[in-house]
Amino acid sequence: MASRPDRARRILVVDDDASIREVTRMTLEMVGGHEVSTAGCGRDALAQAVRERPDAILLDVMMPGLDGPATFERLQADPSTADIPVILLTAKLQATDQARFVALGVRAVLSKPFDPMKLPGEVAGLLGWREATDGG
Amino acid sequence: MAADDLKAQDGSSDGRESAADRAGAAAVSAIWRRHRAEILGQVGAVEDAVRDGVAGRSDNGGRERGGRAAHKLAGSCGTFGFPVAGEIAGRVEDALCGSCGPSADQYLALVGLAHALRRALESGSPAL
Repeated sequence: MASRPDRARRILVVDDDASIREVTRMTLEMVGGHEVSTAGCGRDALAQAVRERPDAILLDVMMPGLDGPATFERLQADPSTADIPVILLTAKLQATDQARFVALGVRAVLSKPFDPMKLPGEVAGLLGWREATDGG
Repeated sequence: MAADDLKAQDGSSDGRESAADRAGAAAVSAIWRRHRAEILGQVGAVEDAVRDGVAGRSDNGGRERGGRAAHKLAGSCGTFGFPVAGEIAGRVEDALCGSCGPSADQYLALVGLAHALRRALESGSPAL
């Protein structure tokens, strides 16, 4: 049976690719029932994370300027954002990259491409968000 | 399709799951159509890098732009229902982003891959 998180969460999606930002936002809102904000670069993500205090951040790895890992390190260094769980998103994920990113302290790493309709469930599972079955 | 309609269809029965899947696929296709031009622009960046490499005037900046575009395509094409294009983009990325850069022969092979990448995106329909 399909399920849905017990309550809407606030998720910040950070990707310099506008098409990925939009499809990620669509599915997290429409399928996952979450509130989603987006940022197109690491610097904007840092400011929004402080201002919005999201429940989670989906962060692209390869971005011009401040890339995903560098953005994550700055989030960790700021006490106001250090406890926000971060999932990195990257194309062509290598096992060595995954180990390196997890060692940094990210909650998980998801690879692109992804199935848009399954993404909300994967995110909820990785973050340990309790799921409530429909009608339950 | 309104968000509430889609949520209401989420997972109660097989038939309603199929309706939700169809609605989701339609939403993803609409996003693809809105971003098609910019995604094809990324293909153009790949083609530029390959063209410069074949002509022997490749520089690190152009190769890096092409490799970055291929990386983005490797992530986005499959998400929008173009898995073959995504796989081709991944191969192009591997070639352009190697530490030494492609050899002359590899650049010639990349011409075919870049052509196949554009064809897969321009002539195909999303397989959602």
